Amino acid sequence: MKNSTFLSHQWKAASRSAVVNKNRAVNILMGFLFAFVFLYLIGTGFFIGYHFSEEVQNPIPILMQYGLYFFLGILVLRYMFQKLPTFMATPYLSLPIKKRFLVNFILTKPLFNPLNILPLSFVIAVSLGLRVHVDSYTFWLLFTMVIIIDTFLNYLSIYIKRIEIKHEFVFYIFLAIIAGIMSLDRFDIIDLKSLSSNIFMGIIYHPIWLTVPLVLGFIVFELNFYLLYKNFSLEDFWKSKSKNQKSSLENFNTLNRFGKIGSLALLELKMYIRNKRPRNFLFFTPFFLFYGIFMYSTTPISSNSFDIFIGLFITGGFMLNLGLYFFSWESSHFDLILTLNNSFKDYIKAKYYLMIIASSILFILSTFYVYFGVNILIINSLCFLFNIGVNSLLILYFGTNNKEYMDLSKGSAFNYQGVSIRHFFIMIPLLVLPIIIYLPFRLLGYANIGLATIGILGILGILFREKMLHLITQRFLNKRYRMAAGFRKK
Amino acid sequence: MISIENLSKVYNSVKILDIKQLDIPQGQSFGLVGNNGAGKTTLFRLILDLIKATSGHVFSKGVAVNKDSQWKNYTGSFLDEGFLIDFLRPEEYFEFIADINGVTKEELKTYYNEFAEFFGDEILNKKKYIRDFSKGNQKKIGIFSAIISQPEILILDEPFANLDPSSQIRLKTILKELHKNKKTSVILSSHDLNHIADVSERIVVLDKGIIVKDLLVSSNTLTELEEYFKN
Repeated sequence: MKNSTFLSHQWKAASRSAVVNKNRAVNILMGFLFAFVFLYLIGTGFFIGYHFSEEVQNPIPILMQYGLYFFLGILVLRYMFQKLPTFMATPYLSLPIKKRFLVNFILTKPLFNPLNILPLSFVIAVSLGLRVHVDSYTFWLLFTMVIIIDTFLNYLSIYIKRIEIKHEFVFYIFLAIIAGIMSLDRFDIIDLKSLSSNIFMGIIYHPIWLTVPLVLGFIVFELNFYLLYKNFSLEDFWKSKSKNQKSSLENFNTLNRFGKIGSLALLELKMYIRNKRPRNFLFFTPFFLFYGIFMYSTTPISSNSFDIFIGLFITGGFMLNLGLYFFSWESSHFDLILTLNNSFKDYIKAKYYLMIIASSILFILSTFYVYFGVNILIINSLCFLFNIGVNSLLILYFGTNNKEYMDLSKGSAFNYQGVSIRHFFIMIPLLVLPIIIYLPFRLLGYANIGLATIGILGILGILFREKMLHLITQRFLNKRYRMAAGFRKK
Repeated sequence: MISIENLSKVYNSVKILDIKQLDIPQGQSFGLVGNNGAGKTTLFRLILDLIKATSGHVFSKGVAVNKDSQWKNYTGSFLDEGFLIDFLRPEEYFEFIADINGVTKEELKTYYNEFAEFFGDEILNKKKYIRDFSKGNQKKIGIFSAIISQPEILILDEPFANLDPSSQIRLKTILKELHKNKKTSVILSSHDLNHIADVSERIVVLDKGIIVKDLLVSSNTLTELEEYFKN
């Protein structure tokens, strides 16, 4: 088989892919997002550079203090957002085409990822902003350095991700290490800034040090190569369903005491824990909880509207992550759900109570925010009421629009299978509605009444939940054929 | 027990099912045959209210299935893998179904014993999730789950497909006993004319959504069916 034929197959695979055609709206949105991020990075980059060139005598050493943060950020972002380069290998494995060629093909793909230009363009923008402070020697050195280190990080993130397919705990270890480094730095146990300055100023004075990331890059590339080469068969890395799905939910039968609703809620919980995609979503819930730590300490606490936004996030982690895709999670056994001998209202209530329980747990954990002031605690409590009273019902209501089959076995980062643009739009009323309610009151000078209204709406939602759940059940009944038909389309 | 009136289903302006009248009395074992695309699964899905009829109604004990879900109390069904919860172990799945239907753990145990032969050693105590079982074993799991509630009506789509020969024979015995001892209306479809003639009292042949034959099974039914499908 000629290599050119092979390349043309790859082009066809990309241009004729069902995902490209099906998810056009999402692709367009991503295109805009990319353009936005690109322009934003160039803009802020230039601004940062300009600012430093005006304010500081010798800006380069100061900027170099942030080098490690920059590259650490790139690693995390790449890890989160970048998809593993893959292709349909199976049909080619039995053909006379060299395995080495196939592996190298996959491994060169990430070099052509459009995301690669983002870090580089940011650094170029900063250098341009610095103007006279950067001579051409330093500029080209920085340029080369970013390319080399970024490429190294690119292959490192791919390597970690590929290992993670088989050993999922790697994902958690990776996040734990990053979080560990960040918190050690935050509490001044290690000093990333001076370390960073030493490393990067060292490189600027002695460019020979660039060979270190270069060699590291080669090592990671080779590691990737051998990992793929060894596992290049029909099984292992191509199979989406790994068999190492373990569960810690063996004796979780307390929920069973609540009868059918409990059984259904327990089933839902098992689904989240035993399938990779919802499990990833579940894992992000605590991150939402800690969102406030970063926001409260970096912004001066003055704007209530922003605090409302954070408050909704803190106790809404479960709803906003998993609730958005309710019903879709069950797409592979939805026919069973429809024929089960129980009322649909119980089925919907199971989801409702899951949201309430999850939010309540998050709320209890979030009381430590009182550290940032009683005002924060009050706002968070009101937002919690709004979340369980109003948002929970809204999520169920909008959830009946879900009709996309969800593949639960794939990881969640930037996986758009089963996601439609609608899901992005649902977030808007959930997060913006309380602020819209609050703002008019504040503008009239009754901020406290505005806040109270949010809480009162939440309480009303809780009081009238039976009626609301009844309405949602009716809507579910009307939409059930459409949902089921969509879920059957794999 | 089940009666169908002027039932039709149109997909993309093609009529894929059109049944003027069909009555399945209580306790009758009923077989549905037809080539691919004849509308067998569509009919089952309509009976189970999984899709919306373009026109007409399915009545179960006189109540329209899309208006009231009474029928769920006495109907067990397994059409395809869309009825399996694939991230559960078989036992968990069975216990879930039993729970929903108010079947106790002890009752479930006795059913396990009744099905011990059908299951072989391949289903229970395997510590595997359903998604990791073979197609044939998944089918066994699904069929058993449909029977847990001891339904008056049992609806199975292609229950013999993917089963090994011994399991096919055991399944036939099980279905016959259910019909004889518990007066269950066993409603099933199959491509295997031998099997379906063996377990059914009545066989209906569908072609392009229309009932072309409605036979009470006798000794020459099989030959008649074979003659029909030859052409």
